[in-house]
Amino acid sequence: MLFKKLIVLIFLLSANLALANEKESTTTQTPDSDFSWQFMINMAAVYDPVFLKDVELNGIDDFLAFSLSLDLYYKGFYIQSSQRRLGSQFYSSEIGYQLINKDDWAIDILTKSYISGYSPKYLIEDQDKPIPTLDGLNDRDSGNGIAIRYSRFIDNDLFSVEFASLGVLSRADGWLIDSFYSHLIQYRNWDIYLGGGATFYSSRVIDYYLGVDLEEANEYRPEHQADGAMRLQAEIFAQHPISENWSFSAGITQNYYSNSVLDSPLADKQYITQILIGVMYVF
Amino acid sequence: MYFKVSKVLTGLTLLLLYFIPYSVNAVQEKSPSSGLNSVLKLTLSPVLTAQPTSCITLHQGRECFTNITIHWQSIDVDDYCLFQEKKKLRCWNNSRSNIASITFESSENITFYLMKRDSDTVLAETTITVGWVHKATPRKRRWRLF
Repeated sequence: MLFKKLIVLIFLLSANLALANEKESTTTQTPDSDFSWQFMINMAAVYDPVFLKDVELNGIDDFLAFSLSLDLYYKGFYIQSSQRRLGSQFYSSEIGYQLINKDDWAIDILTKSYISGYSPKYLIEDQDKPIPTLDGLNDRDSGNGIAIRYSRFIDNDLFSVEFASLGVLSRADGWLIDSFYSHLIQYRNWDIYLGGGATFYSSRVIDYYLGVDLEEANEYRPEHQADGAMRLQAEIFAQHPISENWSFSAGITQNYYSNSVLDSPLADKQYITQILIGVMYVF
Repeated sequence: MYFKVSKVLTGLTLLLLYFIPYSVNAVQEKSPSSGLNSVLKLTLSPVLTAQPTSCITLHQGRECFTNITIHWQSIDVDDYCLFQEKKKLRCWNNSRSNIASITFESSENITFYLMKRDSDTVLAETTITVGWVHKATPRKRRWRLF
């Protein structure tokens, strides 16, 4: 409860900061007033396994992703699909406002989905063999959160760290700190991004997704209260234009989850490799 | 009556004879041989072409890279020079046609010109246009795959 009050307080302060920025527009660089938008269709072949025990990718639809994405910007407000941009989840778009937008740093408030939810029932239906650890387990909703993000821009480098609360907008009551560093290499018409990230999930978040309540426990999944967990990421992503409307993308992300994830009876993967090769049509 | 009719027929005949030569001239002006002359005239003027004719980059304002082949041809053997905007790229002596391979590197359209050496007259020109997939946005772009 105290934590939620703290989050509300931070957002009230942020709102005041935004107003102060508008008043000081002659001396402080406020978000640009330009309006811009882009609508995109993404089609990709993906390899995106989940860390849940015995859940395997099968069927061609598990390896294909089709999504629509919208980038919109107006006077500091924006919608941008930064994570899983070429993935299959449209809701992963982030909606935010640039509180402070300097040349080399920025502070945003935003909302987005940080963690995908899952439905054990549908996961089991999609599998060739039964998964007793998931059978009868309650659904986990997606982890939507509100966050404050600090970004630092130096030439072709971007570092960002965001503090997000999942308790306000989703059942995953908890918080996380997500940091990411990205370095852009421009080689001829290629954009190559080298990235690395570290995310810390509070125990409440991990417990919501990977914990097992007393009423959910059975012989295959004992009661489990999860601790906080860390995820480390390293990725390389490349993009190349094909025409004025089409571009080609390919990337690979290596994820490492800390032992507390593997401690759960629901999970059996600690290292997850994600791969994507696709094309994007830009309107 | 007969006289009157013959007079009218004679008048009509004379009138036809008067206009026939003009009709023939008019047909001659539209004849294929006349069009061929125009084509020949066009063909005789120097030609400058480039392949590809455009360069596509990912983001508006970013430098675009491509290798282009420029071909030029003229009826006269002479000394010709190829210019990129005002910059002289290459000259050929006593030549009538030639090919140049150029590394294109620009964020804006660039026009190439063919001129005779020691002359300011542009004989032919061609433009390489720069296009982009993503237009410029006031928001800094961030990428993260998963």
